[in-house]
Amino acid sequence: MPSPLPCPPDPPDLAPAREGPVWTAVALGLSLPVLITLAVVLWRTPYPVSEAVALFEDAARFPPSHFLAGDTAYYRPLYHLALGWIWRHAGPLDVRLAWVTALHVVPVVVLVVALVVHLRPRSAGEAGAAALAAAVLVGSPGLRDNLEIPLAYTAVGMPLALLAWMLLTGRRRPWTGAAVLALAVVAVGFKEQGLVIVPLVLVAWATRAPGASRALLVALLAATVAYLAFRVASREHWDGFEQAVGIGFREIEPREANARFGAFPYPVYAYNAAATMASVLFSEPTRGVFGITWMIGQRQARPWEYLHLLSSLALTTLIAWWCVDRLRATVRAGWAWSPESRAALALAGVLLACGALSFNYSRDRLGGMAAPFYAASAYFAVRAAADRALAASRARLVATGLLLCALGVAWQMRAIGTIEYSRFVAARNQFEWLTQPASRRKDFADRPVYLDIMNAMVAQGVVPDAPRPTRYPHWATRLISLPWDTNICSSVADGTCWPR
Amino acid sequence: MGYEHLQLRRRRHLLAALILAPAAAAALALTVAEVNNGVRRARRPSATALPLADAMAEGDLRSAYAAIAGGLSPNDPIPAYRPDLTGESAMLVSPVLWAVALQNRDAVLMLLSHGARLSDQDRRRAACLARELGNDDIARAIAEYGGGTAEPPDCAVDPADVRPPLVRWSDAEAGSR
Repeated sequence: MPSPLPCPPDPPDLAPAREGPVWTAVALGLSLPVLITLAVVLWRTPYPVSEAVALFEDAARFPPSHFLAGDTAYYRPLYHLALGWIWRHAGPLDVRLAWVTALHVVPVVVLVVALVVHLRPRSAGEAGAAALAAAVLVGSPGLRDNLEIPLAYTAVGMPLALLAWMLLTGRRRPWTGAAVLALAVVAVGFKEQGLVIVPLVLVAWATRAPGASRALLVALLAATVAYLAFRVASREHWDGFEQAVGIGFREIEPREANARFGAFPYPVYAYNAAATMASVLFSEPTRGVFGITWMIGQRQARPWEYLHLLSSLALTTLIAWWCVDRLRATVRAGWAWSPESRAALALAGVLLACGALSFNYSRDRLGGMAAPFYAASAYFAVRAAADRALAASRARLVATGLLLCALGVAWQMRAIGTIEYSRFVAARNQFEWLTQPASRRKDFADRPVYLDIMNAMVAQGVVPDAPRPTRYPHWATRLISLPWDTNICSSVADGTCWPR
Repeated sequence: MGYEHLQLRRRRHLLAALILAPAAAAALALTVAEVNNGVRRARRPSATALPLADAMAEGDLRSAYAAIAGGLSPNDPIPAYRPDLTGESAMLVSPVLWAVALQNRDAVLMLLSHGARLSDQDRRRAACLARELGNDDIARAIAEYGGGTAEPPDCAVDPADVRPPLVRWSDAEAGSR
């Protein structure tokens, strides 16, 4: 175990420190309207017909041992075991569904609350920065793409990764190593993206974080090697590309991708990894496709597309400046790591891990594990910029303040956009329940368990008070990104979805 | 020292206010919007207030479903009126046939998903009407999910009959009742 070295001081506080949790409570209070609204929307969202019914059918039909077999491209044993346990033991259908929803909603709430608690703001300015970080987290594509109920795989992993980091960087206790190991096992059990906890432990150990130890690192690396060996050994055949791959301005189906790149897929793998990292940092590309760039090139980009691109660009630039500044300070101090420089390195490690784990195809959701660390970095970067501005001229102070204010406005809009997107998904799910049962009764006639579950779930799918997108004023709607759907949107000249 | 300290405090407060303002404004705006939404929802007349025929004509599938959930049978004829479809007077027509006349495929699927049952004759009329309107998508949906065989129906019509297609097919339906 490397001996701890004295850390270089982090930048001074934005305002004189006030002891106690007052400013943490203020930051939480400011984030609560978004968080509560999002949680309520998710809670009232009907399950989708597609995916949900099939998942519940698996939970009803198969014994737990079925989900431990590794011969699948999508290995999520703990998720399926949790679903199966709920399905068999939670009582009537509505109680079961409520538990499955809770499995998704509770981690999202824990994630945002844990982020603010982790940042522990100690002044008004820091509380504002923490509230901005919470908005960054909620407004990030990585979180938004992981809110589709009941696919809670990464939504569970995200708070676990953040909690692991909090344990690693906090005071070491006798049980810290075991707790981090347990969090990693659960996160990986829900989805392989949980492996991002491995680089977190590596970064924590390399930077002499108080909670990290060599024993933990060795145990985790051994478990990771065993897991990877099990996955490789369990699968007889791996397709070069499992899902559609976006490249440049278009998406290609797996069959075409395998035909074109299957013989030497590595450049496309590298592209996918870079695309996932870029989606965290710039909100572009999405699914590997540079959609916003294309729209700007065609002079058809809508306000929300500029909002997403520019707010991410501005924040990532600020974070990059902060990272370089903190790492330089660390070098100047003889490689003595501070909490901030450690956080900068953690962001880099998590980003690389998210990229590596999405080599096969890029999706916004695959960058989700990096979202809390991007948000935490946003907090530190905003705080550092504000502290720097305090010592600058009055003009620079005002300019910095206004820029940070604009950044806050942009990300708050994006956080509200996530709520509206969730409402859109709820409306789309309800539309499925209104129109699809007839076709499914015919197409799934040979699967009686599926049909029984589907028929029993119709009532929750067609509830009259299911969430629908809010009819904000047109100018606000243009800043909220909703996919176009004629059943949910009515026409607006520039193609913006104006909720019916 | 005192003046400098005061200056620093003012600068800190200015900066803190600018950073806090967006979060405070968003929290307030969202709270107001959500309360307003709740109040509007509570005051809005219930979706079932819209008659089934009108809901389908407006493409409002939720209201159309609400009418059925409210007790209206999707198999009972409903009064419908739209001059280009029904001629100059209102008529009684089966919900599925009305949805087909409106070329509202989603409404057809909704009705078939939630209780509409088609006899062989109903199915033939609905499929023929869809074809006559040039909507093969709906004709296929009727054939696939309307029960019975998927064989294409005989849709021969009297060339001398120039009434709107819905009236013609609906008349035949009335004749069969």
